[in-house]
Amino acid sequence: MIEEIGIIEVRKIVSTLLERYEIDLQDYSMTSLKRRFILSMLENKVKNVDELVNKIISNPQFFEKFMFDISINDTEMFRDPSLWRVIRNEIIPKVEAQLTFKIWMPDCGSGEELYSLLIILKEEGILDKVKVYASNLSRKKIEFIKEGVYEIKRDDVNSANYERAKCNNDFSEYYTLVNNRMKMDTSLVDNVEFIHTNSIFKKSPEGVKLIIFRNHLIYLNKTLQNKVIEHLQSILLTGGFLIIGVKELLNTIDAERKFKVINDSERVYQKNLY
Amino acid sequence: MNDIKAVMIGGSAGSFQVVTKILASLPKDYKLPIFMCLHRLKHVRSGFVEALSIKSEMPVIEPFDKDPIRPGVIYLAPANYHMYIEADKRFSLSTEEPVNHSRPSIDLSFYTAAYAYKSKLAGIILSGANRDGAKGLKAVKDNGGITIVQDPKEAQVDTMPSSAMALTSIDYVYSTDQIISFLKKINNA
Repeated sequence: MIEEIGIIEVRKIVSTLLERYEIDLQDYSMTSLKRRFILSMLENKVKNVDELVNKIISNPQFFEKFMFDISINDTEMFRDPSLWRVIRNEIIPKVEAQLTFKIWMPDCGSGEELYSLLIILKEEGILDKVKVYASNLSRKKIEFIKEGVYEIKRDDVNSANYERAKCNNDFSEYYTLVNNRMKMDTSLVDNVEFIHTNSIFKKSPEGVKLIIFRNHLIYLNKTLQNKVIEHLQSILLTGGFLIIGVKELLNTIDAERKFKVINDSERVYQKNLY
Repeated sequence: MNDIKAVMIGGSAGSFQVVTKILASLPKDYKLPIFMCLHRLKHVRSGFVEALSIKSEMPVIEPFDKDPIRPGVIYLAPANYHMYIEADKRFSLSTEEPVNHSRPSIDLSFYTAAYAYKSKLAGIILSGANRDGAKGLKAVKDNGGITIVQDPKEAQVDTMPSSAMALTSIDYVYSTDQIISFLKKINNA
């Protein structure tokens, strides 16, 4: 069983992805990236890095599975319930005056945050006037989210979070049990525009009013974090909102000039007028 | 005695009293960074670090992602995140799947700290009702660091220290008071 791979081997995998598929993971956080590679090798019974690299190069189907494995899952719906209360009570009233507006998730993970957002929009009666864009590096993850089938063992967490978010209904209204798994009400994602891309910097929507990008900066090093924040800033409309994870920071001089803090503990920022 | 540069402590919520006793005994000018990965309620973000701060002369904080590690600070793994130590001596946080039903996972924190600090790490496992931490402490040993468990006779729930003892060789089996003396000794080394 593989428990450890060296930094040189990690770099070999990274350069393979870059050369063969133009996927650039060079400035990702080393520890989590290495861990994702090792977990994927274990999952797919790949014995060593040379075998992994060969399969990535020569087997497009394996490559899709590999991207599915290394992309990060959300693991729970309505994570940080207090944030979802802020979105419903403070953010939506500020943006819904417009006839239509755009929300972007630059990495929609395994979909739990996306479904949480869509449920809130539905309960507020504005699902139809919002255009939601959801990007992902993994084509299979997008299929997975459209399928909307999640492990039932997480239902306790999901339901408890939903209640703490003080939503209006019962969480069980949004799924049915199929083979002891949760099949989400996939009509929620009917109007979502999924974007498969090999880079967060490519195929971004324009004129976005709200960007939700929680717990993805943590997988990037400081250099790439700053570039990504700069890019998100350029996509946001003036006065638009950016939400990041509760343990992530916008603390460069540039970011502090371009954003003002709307809610410190929930990491909600607004793009300044100038 | 190795030239210890950092300390990693793992335990469950049940080891809160032991942890506060240890923190209360360390001087304000303690030099080493101390990482603490304690199992805690994942949806309760605030309160824990405040409760520990009351007892401690040293600053106690929950790091933000990519914060650099500073000497003389006690770092508590935040609720619902794994806490990794990067080789460049910064924290990385992660929302990857729970390990041993735990996030933060003690194994992952220990494992990454052992990789980053090699023989310069002291790892301590306290009381707890879960095997989490055993593999992590083995990683500390495999990298040449010092391994310590709280004496199972003293621990409220001994699954955690006993699992570690079963998996790897332990340098010291200590009572809480002996753990405190050890921490003071490596600070003056």
